[in-house]
Amino acid sequence: MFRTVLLSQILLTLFCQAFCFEPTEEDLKCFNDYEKEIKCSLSTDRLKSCSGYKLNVTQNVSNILKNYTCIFNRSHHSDKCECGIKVFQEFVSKENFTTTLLEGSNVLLSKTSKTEDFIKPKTPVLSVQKTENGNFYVTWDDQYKLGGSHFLEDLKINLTFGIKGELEKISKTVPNTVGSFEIVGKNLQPNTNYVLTATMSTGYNDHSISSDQSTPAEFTTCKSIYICLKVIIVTVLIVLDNPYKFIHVLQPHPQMK
Amino acid sequence: MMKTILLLAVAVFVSSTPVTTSVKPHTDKTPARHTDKALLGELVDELIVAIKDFPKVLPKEKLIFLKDLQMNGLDHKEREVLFCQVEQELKTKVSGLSDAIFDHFRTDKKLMRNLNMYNKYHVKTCKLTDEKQDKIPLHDFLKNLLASVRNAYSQVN
Repeated sequence: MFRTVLLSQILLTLFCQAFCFEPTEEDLKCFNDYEKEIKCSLSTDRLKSCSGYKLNVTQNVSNILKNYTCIFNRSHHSDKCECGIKVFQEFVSKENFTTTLLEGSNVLLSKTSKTEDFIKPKTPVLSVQKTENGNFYVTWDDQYKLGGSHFLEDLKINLTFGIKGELEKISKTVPNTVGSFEIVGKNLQPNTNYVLTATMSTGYNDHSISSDQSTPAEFTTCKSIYICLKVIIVTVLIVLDNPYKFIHVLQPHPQMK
Repeated sequence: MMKTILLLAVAVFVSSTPVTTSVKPHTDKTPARHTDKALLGELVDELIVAIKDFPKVLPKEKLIFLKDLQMNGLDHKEREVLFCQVEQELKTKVSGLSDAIFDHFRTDKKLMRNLNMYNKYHVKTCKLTDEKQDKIPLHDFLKNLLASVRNAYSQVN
């Protein structure tokens, strides 16, 4: 009898080690965007289905606990289980969040973190425009609509660009408040496709967590800087040659009676 | 057979990992200087908004007077004590007032939460001041406080 019980316990433990999901802290990753959202993802090779797993999130606001719950679902773009909440109260540094992972009513994992330690800024959206002198004027949207000015002032954007398909990249980090960056065309290879991406980070956690990478923005350099300038020079000469004709073309025509 | 089972049992016992259910005690990952800068910077933002939103002219029944606390010419330690006293003044005399003009000073709003978090990590005991101290209107109190917080922020920045 004792032998049977012991053997079945051993088999059960061995089975569970192989097939049961016992997450560690590394399996559950949570980030807040310091505006309205907390997103968590659960990743493990042994997790066959997301169903049955849920997350309780408790926000400590002036010693009053605000509770939120979300249910994990399989992400469309990765094989992780994801779960997200929108907080009612804005984020404040040093306030605690407790995240508790449950399978049914069984607590698998619980962790308390300070707000700033898990801020992951929103992914920026890039825009690139070619300028008259063959340079590239880069602007971005930090995607924050509600954020306070101090948080936005403390964001930095890391711009990375290089020739499309090649590994070598150039990176520049500038404060978010600068708002734009100019890539000098003459420093790049002519008639070449370039790709630009960006991430953002916050000084609130000493830039320790970067946002997801932006959608790449492509731009193509002129065949040569002289061709870029030639277009400008020709246009200027046309205007100077017959300025009256040019002005007449621009003026609205009088209406016919 | 019995020996084999016992050996297996020991091997399984040694190798099995316990389920993590206890709350892991948190350790601050971000240096204090960065969070002080964040708290004070946001306090400046919130005070600017609160001052802008607060009516310049109020009916007599809505006039609020707070202690005229010494807010300038302070060293770092004195300023920490001041911020604690400011929080007490606002909490006891303004936070609980029902009118919407005092909404910025509710304890669950950013202004008071930032002040509360700053004090939680800086001040051990809050020295209460004498109630007989001179009083000034809330609007003036906030303007003096803003200057003091800006000063504190510039020293952390």
